[in-house]
Amino acid sequence: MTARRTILLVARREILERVRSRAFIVSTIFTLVLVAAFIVIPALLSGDDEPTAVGVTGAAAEELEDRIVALAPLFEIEVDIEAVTAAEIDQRLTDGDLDVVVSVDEIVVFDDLGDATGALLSTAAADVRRGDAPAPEQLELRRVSTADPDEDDRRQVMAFVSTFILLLVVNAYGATLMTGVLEEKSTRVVEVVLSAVPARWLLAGKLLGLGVLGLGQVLLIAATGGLTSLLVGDVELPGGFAVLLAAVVLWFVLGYAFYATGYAVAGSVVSRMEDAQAALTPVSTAVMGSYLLTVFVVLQNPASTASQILTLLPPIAPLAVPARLALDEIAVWEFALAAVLTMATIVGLVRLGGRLYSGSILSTGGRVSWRDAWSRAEL
Amino acid sequence: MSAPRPESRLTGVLHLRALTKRYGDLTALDGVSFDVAPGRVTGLLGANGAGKTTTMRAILGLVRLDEGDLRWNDDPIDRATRLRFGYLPEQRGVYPKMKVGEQVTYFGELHGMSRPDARRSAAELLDLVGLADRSDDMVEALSHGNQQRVQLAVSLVHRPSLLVLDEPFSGLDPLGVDAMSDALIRVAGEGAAVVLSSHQLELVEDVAEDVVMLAAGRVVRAGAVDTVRSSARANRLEVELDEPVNGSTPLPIGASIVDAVGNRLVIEVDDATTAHQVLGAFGERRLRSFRFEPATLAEVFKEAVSL
Repeated sequence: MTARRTILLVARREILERVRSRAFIVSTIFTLVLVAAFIVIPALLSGDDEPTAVGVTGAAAEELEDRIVALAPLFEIEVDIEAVTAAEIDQRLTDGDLDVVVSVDEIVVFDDLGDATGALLSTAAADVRRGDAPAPEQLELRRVSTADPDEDDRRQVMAFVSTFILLLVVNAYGATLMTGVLEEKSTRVVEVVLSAVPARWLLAGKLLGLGVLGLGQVLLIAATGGLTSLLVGDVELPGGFAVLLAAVVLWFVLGYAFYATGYAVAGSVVSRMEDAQAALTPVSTAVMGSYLLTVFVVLQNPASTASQILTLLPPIAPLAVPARLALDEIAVWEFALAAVLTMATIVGLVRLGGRLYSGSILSTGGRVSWRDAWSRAEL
Repeated sequence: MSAPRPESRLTGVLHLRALTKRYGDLTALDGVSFDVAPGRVTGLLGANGAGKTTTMRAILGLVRLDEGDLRWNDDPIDRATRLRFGYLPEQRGVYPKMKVGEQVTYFGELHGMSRPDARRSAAELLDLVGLADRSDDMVEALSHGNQQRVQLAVSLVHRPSLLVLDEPFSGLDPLGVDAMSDALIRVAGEGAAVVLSSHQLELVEDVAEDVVMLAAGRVVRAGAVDTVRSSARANRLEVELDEPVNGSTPLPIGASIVDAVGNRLVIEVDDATTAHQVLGAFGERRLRSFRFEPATLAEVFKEAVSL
């Protein structure tokens, strides 16, 4: 009986038991629906029914307004029109209470203009300038914004969402692992298993099984997210969306591997669910702390020195790296170094966790101290 | 039941030599030595806390010994050897959210069987314990008694050469005790070495051929049941009179009344005194019945512990 076959047997059992449970199926579908809704709903909302707020300016402002109102129904566009002075154009556009300002010479927008609106306004301006003659000539288009704020917004959202999903999934699978360890212990079935299987192999099988399951779920979430975005269509994906999805998947694997042994050990040192939360404190503190640091430091200022340092710390990297990648604010070397450091730490943690697990999994009664777990291990 | 496959068992003797285990100040095992022979049922007897469970867990490698040596046919016990051991722990444990048949198959595979072999063996054993029609049910849907049967099937699925059972009779009704005894005798009949622990000594008398008595982590008596029973310094004479007993009966030296209820007397008779001498003391009084036999295991145990 090789280690490989035993570990695969254990992993297979873990996967089958979960996949067949109704709770798992329901929660998976729920998560996917949630992800799809997260993408579809903003798209529906932004496919707005609100009239386009148009400012008219210059000497021919009144004529222009009449012409736009006359033409709007032909272009199937609703417009609210007001006259503005040249001085206030940039400010009103930046504030967002005007979508576009038009004169006979130019169209001014904050960042972008829909095609239909562009056609309407240039037709109207040309009509005013040249009487009734058709006017194929393009007006000058000026942008107020130097950056691309929508792109930035989308990136912020992507960064936040991927961080949150990683937190959620690592936490969920860690908790599942902990519960599984504790159940094996409290039903005493672990004694029968350990009479045939070394504790480390059992732990390895459980980590692998739930890891594969979690990976599958993350892939499903990523696929659902990607597919929904494509189907919805008018959602513009930030550049490198596919790369981000791949990175989220990779960092789920690393994040799960980093934290999972902690969850497993927390499950093995106690005998009752009531005590598990306390035993989990070091792990849950690390997870939540990493999340908060990512949200409040890295997401706020991804290029800062603090963010760069946090990115390289193994407990934080699984959340911080995808976040900075989503914001397009990470260098390739930072990504690679963070991955290497995290993997190296994982190797050490799995060894440490394996030892603590095997030293505590057969104990009964109260909570096992870390020291006892360490010194008893050698099964 | 399908035919057992004794050829699939590799028989062997389990040797325990001077096992010692300390938990802090408490010495759970204090130099425990005995053998478990193939084809026989060995009963490990003792009060709670005598060291029975620790001994069994040591056999399964679940306890790290401070001193002592475990051998299987004179070889050190490695992982491969241990895969041929079967274990039924005192605190029964099975996966509640797993189907009965899959569960038994899974443990067969964990012990090194191929999946088809494990499936076949699981089906045979579930048939044997009367759960063939529950194979696709979740374990948690079964009654407590049926879960115990699943547990027995789990411990037997890989046709173990050594079967270790910690308090297998606890929680069983009389019919369950009989069924368990039958199963164990059959497994031993196929050549396996079977060792079971119990604090109910009278149950062990019926099923075990060898006994090991533990007290405070030491072996106080060990050997074949008959040998151990006749090793007692006192035999036991039960007498039933046709009138209520009064305490005035003068018994010969070497005999003493240990119990008197109604018409019945239980008399302890030492090795130097014969039954005839004791019965003579009743003179003209009519005896309805009498029985003279070696001490029970329980009596031997009390005697051994009172040393």
